[in-house]
Amino acid sequence: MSRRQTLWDHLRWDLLALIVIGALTLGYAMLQQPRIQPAELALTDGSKPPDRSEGDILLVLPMAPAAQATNFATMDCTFSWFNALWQHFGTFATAPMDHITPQLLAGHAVVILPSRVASEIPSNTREHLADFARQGGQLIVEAPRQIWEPITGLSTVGTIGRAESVTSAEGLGIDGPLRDHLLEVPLTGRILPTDELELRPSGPVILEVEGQPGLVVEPLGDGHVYSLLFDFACSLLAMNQGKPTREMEFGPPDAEPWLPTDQRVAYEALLSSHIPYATVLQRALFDRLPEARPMARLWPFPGHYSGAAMTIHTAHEDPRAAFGYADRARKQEASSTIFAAPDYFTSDHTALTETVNADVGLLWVLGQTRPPITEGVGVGAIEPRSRELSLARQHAKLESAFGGPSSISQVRTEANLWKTDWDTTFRNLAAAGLRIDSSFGPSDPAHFGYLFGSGMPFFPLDDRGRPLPVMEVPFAFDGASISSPRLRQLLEASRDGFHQPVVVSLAADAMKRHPSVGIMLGFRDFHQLARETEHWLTTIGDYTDFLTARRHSVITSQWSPEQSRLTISVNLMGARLSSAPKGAIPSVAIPDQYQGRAIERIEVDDDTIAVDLSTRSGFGDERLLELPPGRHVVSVFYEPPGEAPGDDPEDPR
Amino acid sequence: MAVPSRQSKYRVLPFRLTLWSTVVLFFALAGIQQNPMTLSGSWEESSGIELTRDVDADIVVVLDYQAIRQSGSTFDDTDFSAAWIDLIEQEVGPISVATPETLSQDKIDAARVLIVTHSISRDMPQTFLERIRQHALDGHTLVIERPEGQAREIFSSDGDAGLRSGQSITHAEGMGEPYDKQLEEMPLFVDYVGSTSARDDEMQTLLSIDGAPVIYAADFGDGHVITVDFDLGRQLVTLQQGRPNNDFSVPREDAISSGSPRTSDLIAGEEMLGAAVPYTDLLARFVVFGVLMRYAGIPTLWSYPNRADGAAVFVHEDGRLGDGGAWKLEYENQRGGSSTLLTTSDSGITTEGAERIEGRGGQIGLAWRPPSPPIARYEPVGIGRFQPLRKPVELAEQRARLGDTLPRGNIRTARSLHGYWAPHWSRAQEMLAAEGIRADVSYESPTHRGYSFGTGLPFRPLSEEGLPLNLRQYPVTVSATANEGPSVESLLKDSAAGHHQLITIATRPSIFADYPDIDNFEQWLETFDYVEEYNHRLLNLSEFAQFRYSRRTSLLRSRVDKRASLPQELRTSETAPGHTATLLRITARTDRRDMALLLPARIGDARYFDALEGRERVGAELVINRLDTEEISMSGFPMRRVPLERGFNNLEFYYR
Repeated sequence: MSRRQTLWDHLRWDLLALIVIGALTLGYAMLQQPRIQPAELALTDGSKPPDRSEGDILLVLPMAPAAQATNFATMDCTFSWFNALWQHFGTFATAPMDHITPQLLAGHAVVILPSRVASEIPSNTREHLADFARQGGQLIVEAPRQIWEPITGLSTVGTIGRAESVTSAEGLGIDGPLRDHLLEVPLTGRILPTDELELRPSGPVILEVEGQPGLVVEPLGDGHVYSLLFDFACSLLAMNQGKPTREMEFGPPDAEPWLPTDQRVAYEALLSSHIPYATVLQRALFDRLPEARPMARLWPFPGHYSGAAMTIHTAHEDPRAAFGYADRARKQEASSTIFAAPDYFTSDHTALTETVNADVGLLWVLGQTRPPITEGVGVGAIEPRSRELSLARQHAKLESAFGGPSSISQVRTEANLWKTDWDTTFRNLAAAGLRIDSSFGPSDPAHFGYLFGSGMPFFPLDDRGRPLPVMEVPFAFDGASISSPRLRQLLEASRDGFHQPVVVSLAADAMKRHPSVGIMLGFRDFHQLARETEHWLTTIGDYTDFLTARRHSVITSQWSPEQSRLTISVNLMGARLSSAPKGAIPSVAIPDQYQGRAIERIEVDDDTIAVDLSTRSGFGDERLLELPPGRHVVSVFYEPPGEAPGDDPEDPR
Repeated sequence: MAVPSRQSKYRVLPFRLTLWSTVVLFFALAGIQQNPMTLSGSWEESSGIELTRDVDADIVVVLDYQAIRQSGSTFDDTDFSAAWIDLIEQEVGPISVATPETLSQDKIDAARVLIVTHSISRDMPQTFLERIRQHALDGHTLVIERPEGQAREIFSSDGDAGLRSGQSITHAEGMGEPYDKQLEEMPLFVDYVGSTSARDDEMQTLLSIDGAPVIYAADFGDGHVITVDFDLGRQLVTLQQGRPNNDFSVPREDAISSGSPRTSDLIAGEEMLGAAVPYTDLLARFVVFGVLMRYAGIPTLWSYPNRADGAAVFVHEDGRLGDGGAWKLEYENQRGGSSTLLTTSDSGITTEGAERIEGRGGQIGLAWRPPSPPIARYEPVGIGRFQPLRKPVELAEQRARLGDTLPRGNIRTARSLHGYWAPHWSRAQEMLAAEGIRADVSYESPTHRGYSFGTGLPFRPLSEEGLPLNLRQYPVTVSATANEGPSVESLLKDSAAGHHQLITIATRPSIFADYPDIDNFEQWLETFDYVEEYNHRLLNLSEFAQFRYSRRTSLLRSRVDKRASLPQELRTSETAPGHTATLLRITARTDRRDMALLLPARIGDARYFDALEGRERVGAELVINRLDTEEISMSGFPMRRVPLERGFNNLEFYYR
């Protein structure tokens, strides 16, 4: 007996076909919107740079990295000294504290003991340092605790206070912008107590911080000991790299995981400042060193330039407008750097970069303000999932537009966004082999200038205080914050004394997101203004190459008080760059006067040269000597003591 | 094995069909939802208006709208007599417009110049003919256009040679160089009436086409009769509003756009493309300053505020930047001006942004997306979430959406995005006028700078019936994309020297977002220097329109006394012994402080001598203020210009 067939029996193949069609439709729909797997990012730790033995200045370093900082107060800021010396002097010596011997000290004029070193240094080494000072050396001790009293002459027993600002700079003994602006410099960290002391010239105090001695200089034998009673290096670090608002984190507790870099800025006053406060603070100390004996340094720009001017253009998507800006720079006989998103940069663009004479860097796409860059994951053409490209893959993809691995080492993050913690993003960049970052700067139209205390590049520190192999080049303007008056103010201030690199960032879509006449006028005028204010028109790649060559140069000197003669031995390294085809070689900056006595004559390699009065620094306290690359011996003769103006009552000057 | 019976197969078939039909229908609907069908947009027809103006003015224009309506249905047949209204308004200011029904004897008596257009002169009632004849005999000026029948016998040459196709103007009486030569180069698109004999031997030929007099004057009693024997209205309309095919369709054989028409397709001829001379205005000014002022000595109101030699208006067209579309305004403010932002309803402009723009003196108008495929925006049509159709967003909807965003709401200025236009000559402007738009900036040549539409001044377009539209068209002189034609500097320079034009400069602020061409930017900056150097006033479109409105609605009456006695203050030994002069007495009332008056440098044989402002009593003294006037050239005609005070001005100008 056969079973009576139901409707289901008749339609089962139809329904099966329907299920297959439904499954295919669903699969197709899933392929249209694949799930994105976030990228995994590698991390690199910081490390101590190789020691150098030559240089007038010796920076003493700790033996081992510090423990991971849990908050900024526990941060080891030793390598902030490294940045400050590199920025100001160009080249200097470093040595671990257990390598300090009288023989090693004999080759240097100045020895710097950062706070951590000063507190950990063995007593016998301390004695060597005291002897070094007594024999005419200059010793700088940061945060000297009570054990240093025999050397510094200062007792630091008592309650440690909080340093916020310099309250008196009368002891500098100078007038002008440096002294005026020093009172505005924001400080971070402690101020050690000490006895009440008089300001110079009646006493030893150079700077007062919070109404008490902050920088004190005392003679010791034939030398001098400088005591920094506040956290000099941490103050610089907070300005350079930002000041965390809580346990090494930035922003409020409920902040987004990525914040614009200008939210790391330590102080409100830095958000719109044409004064590089970190540089001002550095000079308050470093400019004192030639008072005891003249010292030369390597000028931070090639030749006679007062500063450097650079333009960068970020292209989050289509780079066409960035090429427009770069082409304008080319017509102004300058060049620029385009930070391109790898998914929009094609091999056609590589030819264009040569046409417009531009460098190319990577714009690291984070997927925060635009879609992330992804690649499909699946079999053949069926890719139901996609994976976000890691930083390293984005780097490789951009390089592939140039036909393979190239020398792209510069990077900028999407919309200047940065992880909210202290160092992860820097460590990501370092792990991806990127060596120059230019993400630190303003993102608000109202913000401009030296948000990070200086225009000078710096090596960021990880949370154990070790420098990372990435150079951060802060920018001063971005998009809508550009205006001709602001540019003029910044460039003129740089020419007249602060001597800064000034980076202007103009995104390809700036005239789309924040169109303004100020942007166009500012960009139109920038190169001309830079020329008028004697700034070197270059790129951040060229400028950092120049700084690297400067760091590899060597400068040492000997002072003969009897002959009033400063003998400078210098081995100058230069860099042949597209923005300096004849080579970018640092000049030698020599103090214009020593104790009120002017330079009488200069001999270079035993030839007397005429003193060129026109090549002076902005404040007029240094004279720039341009020399070809290689080894040179420069003898600078100052007027003998009796002949200085003012010394002789008969002298009409 | 069970074999399904044939009967059971048939029973299942409806279910199977239903199942698969449902599946097919589902996929069909899903497909149509993904790719909705597009409905084409419509260009709605709207009629013009029968414009009359019953004001106290020196000039009365008489039209017969019924005759105009009935004139024909093709471009060649349409009567464009209404173009006279715009001609007089543009060059003079206040004007009275009458129809046979509204023209009273009082109005005729008050008219110093009576213009009888072709719409009425071709079939004039006997009583009307007698009234205007008497008016002329009484010492007034009668202008009659292409009269027919008895009117021609009374006032004009015989017209026996009939209609002839005009090639070029060959003579313009009294027009100085180089403007006379420029007028002779004007392309002509009209016929003229040829005659075999003049009305009398003393007839003065003022304008000739191909050697034949087409504007001529004759004494008539104590007055004058001026005959215009060519279709002046058609010539003006063809140049300004464009030249369609005879069925009013927009010619597109040589169109720049291959698909949808653009306003540039209406440019009257190749020779008009990028013209450095505003031919329309040259002709209009010849009529006003070379004819009416010569015979009637009428004054006019100066066309620009603060005695500027012209004006420049920046209009910025944007569909992408939203609030940022007005980024140039900051600099324009610094240079003492402002501009008009014409933005699409979907550009992203916000109420706050609009407030900021208006706070800086900027004006906001609509960059309208016409239903032309390249730029139209569509909205879905359907039921609930099922939307299988889409249609272009209508003009009214676009205007309402943008209006909802703006603080002041009401949008009265528009521009068709990128100049896309209706396939019909006047349809787009009819639509705009019907939607309450009062100023349109769509006419432009995308390739050439210059006066491709014969003028830089706003004109009132006409409908296909020949009736005026309640709208003014501001032709763009310098398009954002133009690379050919006269330079901006030369346009401003020539304008200052005598053309006295409104230079409308269109830009697209978003081009700098795509490619920051600094050279282009610097050219824009230079424009401000030229505007300043050549004494042009930088305004936004609304400010200019307001000025022109005040000018039109001002009171301006004059009277000429050819045997006046010079006041004591003006008498010198040179005026002795008679101390007589021709007096032009003017009463003007304006509601602005920046108006000025333009007077003839001569009346008849008498030259300008001196001027006095109305007498006022100060204590016991009767004080008379002397007036300073300045010489100025108006398209080759020497004039005198004098500023006016706000309110009433009673002025006396003496000619000897």
